[in-house]
Amino acid sequence: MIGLAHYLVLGGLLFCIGLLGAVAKRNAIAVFMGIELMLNSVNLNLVAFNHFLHPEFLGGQAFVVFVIVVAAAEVSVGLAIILSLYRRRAITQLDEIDLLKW
Amino acid sequence: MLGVLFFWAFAALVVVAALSMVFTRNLVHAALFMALTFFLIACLYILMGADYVGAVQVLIYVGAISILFVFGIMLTKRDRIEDSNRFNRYGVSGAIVSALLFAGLVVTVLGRDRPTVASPSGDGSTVQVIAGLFLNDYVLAFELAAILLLAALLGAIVIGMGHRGPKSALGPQAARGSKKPAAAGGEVQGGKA
Repeated sequence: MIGLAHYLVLGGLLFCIGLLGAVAKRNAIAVFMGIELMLNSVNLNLVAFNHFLHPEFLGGQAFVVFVIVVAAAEVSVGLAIILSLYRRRAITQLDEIDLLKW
Repeated sequence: MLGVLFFWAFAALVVVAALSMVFTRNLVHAALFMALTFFLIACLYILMGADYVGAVQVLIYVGAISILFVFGIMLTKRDRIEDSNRFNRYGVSGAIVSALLFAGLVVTVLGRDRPTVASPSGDGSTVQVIAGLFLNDYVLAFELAAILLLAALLGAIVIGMGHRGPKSALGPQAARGSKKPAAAGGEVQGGKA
């Protein structure tokens, strides 16, 4: 029988895969993909807690919608920043954005 | 039981898709694997009875955010697309940290008993209940989310306009590169280039 622990372990595995993508990728857009995967795994955990602990309240699913709203705002602004950076300096590799590093 | 079969199928597929997203060399393939991952997560939502959240996931993540990522990839030029998604020099240490975090999460999750059977939550759609939550209990957060989306829309437009905007922070010299070495911004850029 599939229980809460299955979904929590799956969410944790997806979070760790997203973390690997976020810390170890060279391209800024790939780093953004990792961050999106981490947000999605948290959403999966929220829905699982809602489903297995308080299935009559649905507050967890409402919270998921708020997380999706914040993630959409973050992606739009972040991709605009990446495009602006590309237009000014013609790079999308995060290692080369070292103007402040001595 | 059919639900168990569907869970294992979706779980295996979503883990394979997420790993392919991280480990593929091609950035466009990574974006497509990301869309597949989001769609499979929506399937898991629907498997848990969260039909509204699943529909929102398909609409926003698969339909909008993935397309936005593909636009971002298409609008930035790179040398070879087959080799555009490399790991940086923290690849091994990042993998070790992720594996350790996953081990810690598994130990924490399995350390105590979790409920395995969900109590039945009614057969109807969840849309009515979530709409009631949005417009009664969480109405302030709902309005704040609307304001946040408006601010993000304006911010994305202003940032994306770049140096053609009326109030550019660096001025036309810095945006155009080091044509005039007397300007401070041009000097910094010339030094880096």
